[in-house]
Amino acid sequence: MNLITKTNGNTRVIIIHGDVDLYNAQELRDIIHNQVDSGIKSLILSFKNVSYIDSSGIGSLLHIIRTAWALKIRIAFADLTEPVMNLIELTKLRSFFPIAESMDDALTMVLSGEEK
Amino acid sequence: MDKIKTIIVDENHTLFDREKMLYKEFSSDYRLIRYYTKILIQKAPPVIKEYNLMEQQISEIIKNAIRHGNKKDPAKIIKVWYLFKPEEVRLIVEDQGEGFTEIEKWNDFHRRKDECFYTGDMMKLSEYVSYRGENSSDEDGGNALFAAVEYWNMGVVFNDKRNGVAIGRRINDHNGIRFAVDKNRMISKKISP
Repeated sequence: MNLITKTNGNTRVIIIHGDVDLYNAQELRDIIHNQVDSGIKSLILSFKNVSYIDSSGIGSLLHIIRTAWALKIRIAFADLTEPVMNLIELTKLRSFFPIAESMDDALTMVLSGEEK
Repeated sequence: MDKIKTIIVDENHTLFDREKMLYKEFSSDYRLIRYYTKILIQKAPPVIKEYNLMEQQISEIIKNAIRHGNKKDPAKIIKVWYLFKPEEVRLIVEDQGEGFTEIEKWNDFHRRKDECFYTGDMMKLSEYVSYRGENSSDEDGGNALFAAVEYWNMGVVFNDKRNGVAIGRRINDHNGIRFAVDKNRMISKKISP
């Protein structure tokens, strides 16, 4: 897994590349901790280059969502691929995830302060 | 409301019928979990399209056996019986650990979670997004079995010692599982191919 970070003002977009699995879930969790003290107000994760995720990865995303709420960072997930969406659906936790239809929608979500 | 799925304990369950199943043993090497899974799944017939999800779901069961069952002890092995047919996939994974003693506790937690899901109580659902057992750590997503009881539609069944689990999936069509999001309502629905 590789992370490519782009920052524009108070908004940071992190594009995740590669498999998100038990071997790098901790690194994914740390994404949100790395935003502390950054002054970032909005965070968007892009999954367009993720073709595999497992329960450890889903657990990391749940941790990121909850921590973002606590830190008052607006968050959105964009460009979810079929494998990522399938597993989220199977867990029946879909409603917990701030899923955007596209990167444009994700930007609208975080900039309007509304997650859904 | 769909029926809330549970993990059951019944070593006489038909999913424990090992006849015609292939067999392999693996060491408890945490680094090789996905490799082991790929060895198994290469026996799947090409008509099965849901390789990605199937690989992931098998990998979770192997991970549970190595991590929670054998606690990554290199002296311990896991035993895997497996059968891939176009219409049915079954596995039995047995470890050399003390057994999953928290099945009733997990079922109770999962029932509460799914009740929130079906009633739409999203505030309460946030309390149930991750199951934390006595041996859970940050390594554990706490959601693997939520998906397992949905994916393995023939059941998730433990033996009486609870150190062996039998799982099965009946495949009714070969277009794989696909979901889409209803943009207008922002709720998810399963779509037909």
